[in-house]
Amino acid sequence: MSLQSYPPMPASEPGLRPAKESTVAPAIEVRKLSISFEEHAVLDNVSFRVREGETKVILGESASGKTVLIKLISGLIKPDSGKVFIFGKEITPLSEDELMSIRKDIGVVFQESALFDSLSVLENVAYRLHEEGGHSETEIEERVSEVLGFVGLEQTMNLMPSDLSGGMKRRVSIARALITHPKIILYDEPTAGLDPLTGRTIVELILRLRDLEGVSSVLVTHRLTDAFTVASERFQDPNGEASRPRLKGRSQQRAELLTSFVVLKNGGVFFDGSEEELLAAQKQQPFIREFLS
Amino acid sequence: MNDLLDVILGAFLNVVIEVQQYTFHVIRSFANLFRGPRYLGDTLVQMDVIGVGSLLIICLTGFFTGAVLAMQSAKSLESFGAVGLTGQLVAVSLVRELGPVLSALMVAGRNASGMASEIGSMVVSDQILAMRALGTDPSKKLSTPRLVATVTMLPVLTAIADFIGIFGGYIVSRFLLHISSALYWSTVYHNLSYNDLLEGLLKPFIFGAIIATVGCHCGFRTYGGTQGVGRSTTQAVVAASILIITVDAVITRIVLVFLR
Repeated sequence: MSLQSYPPMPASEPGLRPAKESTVAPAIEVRKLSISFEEHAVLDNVSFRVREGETKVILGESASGKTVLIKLISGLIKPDSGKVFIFGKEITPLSEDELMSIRKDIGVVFQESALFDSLSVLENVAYRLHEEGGHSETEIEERVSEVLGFVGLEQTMNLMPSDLSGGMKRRVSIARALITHPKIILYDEPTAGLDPLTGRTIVELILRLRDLEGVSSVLVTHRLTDAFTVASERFQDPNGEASRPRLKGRSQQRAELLTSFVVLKNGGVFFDGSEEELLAAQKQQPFIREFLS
Repeated sequence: MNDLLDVILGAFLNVVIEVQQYTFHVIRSFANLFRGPRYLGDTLVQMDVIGVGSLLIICLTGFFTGAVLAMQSAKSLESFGAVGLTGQLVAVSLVRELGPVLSALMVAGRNASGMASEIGSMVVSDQILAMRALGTDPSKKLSTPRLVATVTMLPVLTAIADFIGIFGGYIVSRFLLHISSALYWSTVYHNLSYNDLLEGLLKPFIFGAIIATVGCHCGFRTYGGTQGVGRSTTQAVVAASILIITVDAVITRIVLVFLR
């Protein structure tokens, strides 16, 4: 997996760039967000921030509003009340046309991949480039090849989505989200229903995007293994199959700056903090203890 | 009693909401014609699917409608000794009424259902959400190309159905009723007025808009998985067919009042 012509990495030490602190607007800010469906409150007064370069892991039971949160952040649905800010710009009052330009900075990886089943892998991944216009077919093919290489699927370019396995579909979905180098990626259960090995490949892609590209992201999952892998490991060796060891000591503290957790309960934020704080909280909070057990 | 009233009010409210949403969908689909981006490639693909794809069923429908019309009308005309006017009756009936309506019903059965099921499948598999997340307005990308393609292709298909129908009537008239070719074609030519052609070609534009907007609207409001896709498909065909027949009656009345 090579990334030679992918956008240049920031000059600092790969993998250990702390998320930028509050001197700049957070990549995502969710403020007092509430939404109900048929009088059932799905999200109630939810607030949190995702700093630039940070991955926010959203945990919660099934039907706790995690997917709805992803849709709200990407502007696909409107909240009943509350605000969503993307790089400091409030998107909640924007019209669908105005949101289109905001969404260019946001990639979404849907739970079931949501690939266009009548388009080939090449056409799926190149979709945004075709929509933008102004790219030659050669240029598009090069970029698709590059981004498919990044997810390890360059040989699938001419296949149809129906020819791919579940894990491959997720990776193509990530490639499609990456093609225009978005600053934010929203992952909705990217490893759900996958075997542990394939799930691990997806998690490594998430680490790689966070640590090498500095992409801010929200990772919705109820697979705790994936959540803690993202929090405790970093992408270490871009050239090979090297291990991604658990970090210790100072490195661990610095890596924690890159990942934090939100736990949803009954539509509200029950916990918002680092991995260390989450593990500490389980001693006092039976819900977290039960959830993590 | 109160429960019954609630049910009736609820059903009425649903109809009002449905009509409102359909109206918004129609307005948006037409408004997209004046706002970029325009999907010319998708429009051409849809013109091929709707126009070329429907050609065979339109030809068969037109031919056999014309043939049956000739047989039936000849039987009635025989009692007045006017079998020679079969060509006129076939031509006027086909061009003014049967050609546009039957072509529209055929295209509705084939394409409104196709649009509803295709878009409905995209809705239930989150492809429409993905499209929006990728910065594309599904209304511009999916509805408007289908609207333009149907509105442009249906008049062409209707004209073809009319001609093939008149030809079907000619085959019956010539070989079963033994009417001379010259008599048949001269009654056709001399009795078709410009108003007949105007009425016959005005209707397909409106029917085309109905087919595309109903098909796409039913697709976009799909819910409930594959069962929901089936339900939307059926609703699209039924709603489009009823609207076509209802609007046909309205247009016919307007034309009879203002163009006769």
